[in-house]
Amino acid sequence: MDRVLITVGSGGKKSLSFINEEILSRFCNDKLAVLADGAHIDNDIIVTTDTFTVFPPFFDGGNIGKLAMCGMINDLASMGAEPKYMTMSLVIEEGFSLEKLRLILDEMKFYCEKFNIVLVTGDTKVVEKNKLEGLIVNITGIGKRYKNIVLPQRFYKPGDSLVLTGPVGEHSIAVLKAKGVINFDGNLNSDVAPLWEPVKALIDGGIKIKFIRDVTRGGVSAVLNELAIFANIKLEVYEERIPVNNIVASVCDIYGFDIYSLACEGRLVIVVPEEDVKKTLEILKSNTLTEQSEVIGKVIETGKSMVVLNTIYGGKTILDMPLGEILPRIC
Amino acid sequence: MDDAINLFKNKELTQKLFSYLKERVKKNYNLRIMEFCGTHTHNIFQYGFRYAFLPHVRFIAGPGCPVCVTSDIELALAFYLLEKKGVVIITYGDLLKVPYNDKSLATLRSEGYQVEIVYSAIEAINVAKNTDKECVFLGVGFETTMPGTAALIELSKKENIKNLSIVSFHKNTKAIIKALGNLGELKTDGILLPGHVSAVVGWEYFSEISSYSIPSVVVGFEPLDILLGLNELLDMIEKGEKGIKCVYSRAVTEKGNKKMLEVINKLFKKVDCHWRGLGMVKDGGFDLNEEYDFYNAKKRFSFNDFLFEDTEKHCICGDVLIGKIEPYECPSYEVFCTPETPIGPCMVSHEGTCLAYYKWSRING
Repeated sequence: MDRVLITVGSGGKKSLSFINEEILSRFCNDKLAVLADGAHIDNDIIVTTDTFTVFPPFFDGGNIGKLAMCGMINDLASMGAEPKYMTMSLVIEEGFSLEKLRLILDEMKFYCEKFNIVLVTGDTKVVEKNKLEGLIVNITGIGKRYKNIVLPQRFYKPGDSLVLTGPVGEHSIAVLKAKGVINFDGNLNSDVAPLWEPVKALIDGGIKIKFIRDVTRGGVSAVLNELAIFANIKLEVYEERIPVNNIVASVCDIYGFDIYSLACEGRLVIVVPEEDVKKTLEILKSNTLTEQSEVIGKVIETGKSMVVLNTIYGGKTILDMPLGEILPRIC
Repeated sequence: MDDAINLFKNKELTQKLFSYLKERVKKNYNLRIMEFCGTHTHNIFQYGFRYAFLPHVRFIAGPGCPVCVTSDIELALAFYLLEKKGVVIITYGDLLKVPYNDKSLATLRSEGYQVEIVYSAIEAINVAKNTDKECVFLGVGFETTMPGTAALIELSKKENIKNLSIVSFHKNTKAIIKALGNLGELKTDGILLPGHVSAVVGWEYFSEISSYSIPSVVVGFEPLDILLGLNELLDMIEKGEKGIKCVYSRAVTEKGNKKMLEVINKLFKKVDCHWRGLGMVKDGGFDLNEEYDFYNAKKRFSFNDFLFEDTEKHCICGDVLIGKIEPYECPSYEVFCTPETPIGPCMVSHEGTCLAYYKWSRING
């Protein structure tokens, strides 16, 4: 019997084929087929939905509440939309600490107030103990298109620049540490952060943005490959320019994780025309959440879906779509 | 140690040596260099070295990826314990996707069988402590991971853990090199010997290679390590030198790590063992000594109704592993055998030769 494997939820190749075979085959329409982070449902209304299942619900740098809010805000930001309303569904394991739940909800309230987001409806379910680990949060975000921007755009040309707004993989490593599966000295916080402000600043600054995607499961590899497939373009990425935190690099070295497949929750990949790249960096670097932004590569060819990584040492290799779970190597 | 690692990652030094070697190999070289270890295979790709020296030097991935050489009968054994004996299987993550008979630990886990992934052997203790069920740790890997398995058993003994046993799939690197050498299959011009294994067993362990007249160098895993190893091999080939040299002296000694070797010898004995695609190898594996029968899953459980169907005939991973053929020469490669639908572990493991080639071929494809 065919069954759903964990890799279907990993954000990599298996997720993509599941969506194609099981979802698009049944529900395909012009809005859904774009497979963007959200959808234009009316001229200026954009809607996005996401479910959050992180375990444990608390980790260095955040908790599942902050994660859910930032995930929703970043999905809308990736569509060039300002967050306005949200719905929230909670599925909670019987016996979950009320004190912890309050901390999670307070964190969500904090971001609602900060961004003037109004919670308009919701649902709460409790399932029997051990039928679930902790809690699951689902948020649907409703945003308003900002200054008529349309994202993602369909057409790209050689020279278009790829900008990454900060170091990769900090969220994955912080969560693995919280799970207790890895341990290390030194502090490392998840990069989870809401990125509407820097995106708004780019739009206000008149940057002709072509594509924004927040880097989540599947890491920067998944986002770049999705872009390459969606736009049918060949991307070249310069390893040396990809910002990496020293602790993350060391952990990946020791455990054999592929650093470019690790999840982030507060980083964007942005494509802008070559002539806008200088101003884009100026704007991003003036916001603390995106101050480590770098131009990591460019579009080099159209008509071919591929991501080539130029290594630090002067060689070339492929940055592939992650296949499934993030697994360490044996030796 | 931090400084040492950073030094061997040094960009300027690596780029300098890389440029020098790219020029050097142009001098009439037509060499096949086998890197024994799967992590070398992986890193040679990752750093962008693999195709940089073509057509003068070809890197051939050897039989040194532990997942790649885990055989069907071993997988069948693990699946049997999971399905028929209802145990909790504890494993390193790499093994999760390896298929046998249309099943894998991943598909079995989705059916509700309990498979726990650990990042080090010792974590298996915590899994066992949190359940009343029988737990079996799959001891996969070469001499490198054996001290970890040994430590797990010693700790279980000390803490009086009764519901944990191991099944040893550990493999003997010395035996496979010997077996291939005796078969005359090792037709490479040089070998990059495994750094991690050598750190445990010492480079002297591989001294029999000298009798096959193949120059060999023990190398580390950083970019500069690998290039230094290649440079050393080219020196040896030019001078007609045989034997073993070591350019990984910050981690490897002639005699190895005495404590680890003691532990290995105390707990394990050599046994004939099946390697995927390579068949039965004399002394090719390790099993627990009789003294540790209590911790040996092969002894703890009965295997009366254990059935095994040999499906490896459809897979010619063995020829790929020893560098006899290139992945694209396998009739299944890219046709039936892809990263999404892997047949052999060479495609399953992210250290696997076929997966590495698959990725690369798309650059120029």
